[in-house]
Amino acid sequence: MIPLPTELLVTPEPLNPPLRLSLRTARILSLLVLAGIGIGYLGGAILTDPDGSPQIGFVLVRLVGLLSAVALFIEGRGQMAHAADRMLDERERQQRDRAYMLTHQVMVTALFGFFLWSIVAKFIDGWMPEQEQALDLLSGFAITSMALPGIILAWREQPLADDEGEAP
Amino acid sequence: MDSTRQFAVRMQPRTARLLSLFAALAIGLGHGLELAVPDIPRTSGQLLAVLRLAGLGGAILLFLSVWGQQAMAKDAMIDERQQRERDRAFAAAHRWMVAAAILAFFYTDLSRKLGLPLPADSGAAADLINVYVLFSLALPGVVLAWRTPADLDDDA
Repeated sequence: MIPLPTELLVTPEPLNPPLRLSLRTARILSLLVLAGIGIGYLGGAILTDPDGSPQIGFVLVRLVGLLSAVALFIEGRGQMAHAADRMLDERERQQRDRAYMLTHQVMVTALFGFFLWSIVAKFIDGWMPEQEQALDLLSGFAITSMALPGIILAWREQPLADDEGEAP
Repeated sequence: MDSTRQFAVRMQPRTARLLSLFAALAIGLGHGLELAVPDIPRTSGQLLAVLRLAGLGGAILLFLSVWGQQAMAKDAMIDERQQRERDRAFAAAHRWMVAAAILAFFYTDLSRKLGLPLPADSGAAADLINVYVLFSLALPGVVLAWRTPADLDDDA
């Protein structure tokens, strides 16, 4: 759809994120999200206490991942990932939509990998989550999926000359 | 979109929309009834299995359609406008997927408290994940088909 000339003249509403971090900090946080949620939820589902609950170490790692995800969400790149069209210019919209495209591919690949594992696990009597653990994994998956577009934006952003890129 | 149409199933947007509705209903009913009625009669169970298979077939057909192929096309195969439409379709697909995952989370949590039906074993849960993956693959193409203006129906 070709935009009308009047649409091209509209100035985007400014994006005012409550938190602004340097590019380096955002990237470190993004690694903490992926590691914290990945290890905390998956490790906590596989290695449980005798009563079936996750071990305390994994719960703490989850917390680190979750807090990092919250920080990234309210930070500029996370806000850009979830901003309405009118708040972004054409270039930012393209970057955001491309981040969603990669997120979709990562989500589908992760789920497909899990599906393949469920088939293999039948034959080798491998690990499969119980109901409680499946619920944990599902919430970890949903949180990661929501954080991923912001993470991708942070890693695709070009660092400024002084390597202290401000949030968009 | 010509380069993507060479290897794709030709389908009008209207057909793709109807097929997407059919696939969603067939899979939803097929799995939902099986969950809700655990000791379902054998013949009805077989009918539900056929319904689920037909729904899955529809999802695969959508994935192979011109809309699914445009969604999966590389940048070099489509022009800038189509790239923008494709990327926006992925953004919408992502929102649907996350919403479905969050709904599944709340349903599973609630079902343990209220005794609502859940998959009988991990195999049945894996089947649902398979359906989710297939639908997710088809979803960007479905979004493209639904966003195509009706007056382009004959041009598809």
